[in-house]
Amino acid sequence: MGAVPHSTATDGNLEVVAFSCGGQTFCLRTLSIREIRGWSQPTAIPNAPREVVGALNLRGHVIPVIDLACKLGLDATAISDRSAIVVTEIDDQVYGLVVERVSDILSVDRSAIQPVPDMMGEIGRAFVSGIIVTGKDMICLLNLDHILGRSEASAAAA
Amino acid sequence: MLFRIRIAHRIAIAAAVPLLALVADMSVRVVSNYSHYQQMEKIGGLAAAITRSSELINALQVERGLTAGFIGAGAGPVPANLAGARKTTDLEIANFVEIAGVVEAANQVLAGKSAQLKRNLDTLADFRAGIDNRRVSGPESLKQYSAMIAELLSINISAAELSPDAPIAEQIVALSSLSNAKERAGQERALVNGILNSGEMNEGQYLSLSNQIAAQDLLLGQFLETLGADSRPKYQALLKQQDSGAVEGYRQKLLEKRDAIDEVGIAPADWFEATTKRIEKLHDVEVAVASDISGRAGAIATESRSAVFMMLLAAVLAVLGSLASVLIVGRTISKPLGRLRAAMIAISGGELDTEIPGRERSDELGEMAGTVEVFRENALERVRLEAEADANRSLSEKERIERERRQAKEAAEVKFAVDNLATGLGALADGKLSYRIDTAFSEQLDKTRCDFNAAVERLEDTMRQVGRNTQAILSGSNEIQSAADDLSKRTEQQAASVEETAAAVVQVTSSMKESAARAEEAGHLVSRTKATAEQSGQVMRQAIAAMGEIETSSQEIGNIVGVIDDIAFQTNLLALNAGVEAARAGDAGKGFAVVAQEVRELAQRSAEAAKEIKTLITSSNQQVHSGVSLVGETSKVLEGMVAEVQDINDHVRSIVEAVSEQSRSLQEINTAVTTIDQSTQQNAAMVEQSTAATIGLTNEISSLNDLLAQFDVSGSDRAPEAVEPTAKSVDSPARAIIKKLASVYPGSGNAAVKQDEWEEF
Repeated sequence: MGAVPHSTATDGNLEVVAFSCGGQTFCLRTLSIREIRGWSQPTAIPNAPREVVGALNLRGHVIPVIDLACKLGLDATAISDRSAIVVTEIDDQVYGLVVERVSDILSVDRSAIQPVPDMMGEIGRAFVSGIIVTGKDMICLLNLDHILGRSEASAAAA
Repeated sequence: MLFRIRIAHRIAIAAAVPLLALVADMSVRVVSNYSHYQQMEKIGGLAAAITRSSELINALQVERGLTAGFIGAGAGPVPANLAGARKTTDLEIANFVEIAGVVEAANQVLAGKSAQLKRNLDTLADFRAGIDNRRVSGPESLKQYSAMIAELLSINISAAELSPDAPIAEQIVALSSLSNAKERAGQERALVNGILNSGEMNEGQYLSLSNQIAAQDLLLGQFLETLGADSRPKYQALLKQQDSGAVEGYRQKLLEKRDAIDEVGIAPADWFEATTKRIEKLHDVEVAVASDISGRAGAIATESRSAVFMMLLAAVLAVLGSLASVLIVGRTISKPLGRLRAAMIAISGGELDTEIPGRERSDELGEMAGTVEVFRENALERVRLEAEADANRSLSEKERIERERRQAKEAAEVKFAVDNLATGLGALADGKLSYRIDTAFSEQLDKTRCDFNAAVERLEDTMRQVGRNTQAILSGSNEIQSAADDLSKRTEQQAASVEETAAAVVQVTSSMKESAARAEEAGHLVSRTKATAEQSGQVMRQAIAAMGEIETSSQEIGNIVGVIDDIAFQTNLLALNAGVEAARAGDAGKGFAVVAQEVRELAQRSAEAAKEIKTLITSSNQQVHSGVSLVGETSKVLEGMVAEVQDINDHVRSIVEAVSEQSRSLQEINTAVTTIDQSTQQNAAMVEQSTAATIGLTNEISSLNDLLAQFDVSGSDRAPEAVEPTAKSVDSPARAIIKKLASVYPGSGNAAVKQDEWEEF
């Protein structure tokens, strides 16, 4: 992790939570995250899609748990003690995302967010909102709305 | 004892023995015959008694029959015939009692029976009175009379038992059968009389009648059977004469019409007459048999009596004859024997002209007389020879004087010879072996002189030879001496060698002991090293255990670090959540976000620290592992060392054993050297002995020479000079050796002892 200069949240700054997934570092907007939980084995759901690991009891509510790496088209996450489940909320729908490990909470200047290059195509651009450059490293800012789109939401609800 | 009795008496004794036997035999025979005669006399008496008893029985039977008729008739006075019968009976009783008294006195067997009979007869009077008063029944009267008759009959049987003569016994038994038959006839008579008088016959009477008839036939048959063959025909004829025709007819009628006796038509008197006639006939036969017995017994008695007389006569004659023959034979032996004895006594008393009697006899006594005559003639011859010897005793005196003169001459010659011999012997005593007697002696004694001369010459030669031999012995003795010296020198050399050997052995022994001690010490050292190595192994094991413990501790530390790491992670998560919450809170959460950030950093730092510790622990664990493996290797090396040390220990032990073995061998060598030493000492002693013996020999030779010098031997070289013993107690080399050996073997004390012994040689 590069030594990203912390800055208090201003209008010009974007708060993100960085994590590694499939050997790569991604980040999500902090506001889309409800909480971060340590690894606990979810209850497997029969006949679920490949990326759906199972369901988790979150203080009385049953939420679907999705392997983010799988969802992103990478190899399935290798589960370890240090794995974490990032609980997100999109359109009042709560999901649990399995990641390898949570790295940091970063406050990024919006200007530092660069657009996704064109050659990635529509689908690539739909998953990634932008790329944050910190020194030599780059962090993909994931677009949760697209990743967990309508279809995904209905599938999880079904 | 028998030899003390005179011959005449002995002959008398010899004759007396058979004579006494003869007399005894004769007496036995006479006594036997006499008793036989007496027995026969008794039988004769008995026959008479039987005849009488037969008469009595007859009378009783008649009375019985009439009585039966009287009782059967039932009423009326006593008939005349019954009264007559009773009278007859009384008469017969009187007769029987008279003769029974005689028989009883002679025969005790009959005493009891006749007494019983008498008692029965005494009661007869009462019985008859009972009949007259009709108190007695028919069968009762029959029974009474029959009992009396049976008693009388039993006398006959007793008489048969008494008889020693078989034919008489047979006849008596036959008589008994006949009497019984007659008795049965009598009973039949009485029975039928009773039946006819009463006019009826009951079943018992019928049976009794048939029984009586059958018994009569049987008994008569028995009578004839028992008789001897010679007398049987006579009695058979007598029995046939009995008129049985009438009786038989009556019997048949009775048996046929037994249910109606009234119709039979037999008068009781007719029956009685007929049967009485028959019984009378039987009685006649009985009397004939009895008289026959009596006659036969009388004949036998007479015979026995004459036999007794004959035997007595024969015995007396035999005794007298024996006595006469013994007297005659005894006199023919004892009388000439007495005469011969008297003649022999006379000859032994010196009366040689005594006449020997009985020489003309041709028996043994005649021979004895001839022999005694020869003795007498020998005695006469001896007397004659003694007389001749007395006559020869006076011989001539002249012969004796002549002999004395001759003896004197011979004595002078002997004296001369003895003197000469004495002179010769004196010279010989002085050692002059060259002396000879030259003068001749008388003819008989000259041989003595020659013998003396020869003896002296022989002695002289011997002495000369002895001198020469002494020279030879002396030279031999000298040779022995020089040989002994040589032996002595060699013994010295041997002793020196033994000394050197002993010294070497002692040196080797000491070095051997030292090496044994060294080896033992090395063994001890090796043992200690082994112990140390084993101890090190123990320490190694302890070190390995300690490292294991370190590893365990590291593991625990790792666990604790893991817990710390976990806490850091959780803290991080919490801080993240706090940060998220702060962000969602907007501006209000800014301060909280800072705190959360700080907490997150702390958590990260502690996580990093935990990671570092983990790394350190891991490396420390690896080092501990390598340490353990190194210690294990060291332990193995040490174990190898222990094994090698064990080998070294074994080798050292075998070295020690070998050394002790060598030490034993050395001991044996030592013993052998000691033995050699002793042998050497004995050799030295022997050398000493032989030297001493040689010296003794030389001395003996010189004394022998001195002795030889005393003799004067003609024509010989001078006896050798006495040789001075050259080796006079030379200091023996053996003695020096022994001293040396004694110093080498201070333990063996015998060397010193030997030394003392040697001083005495």
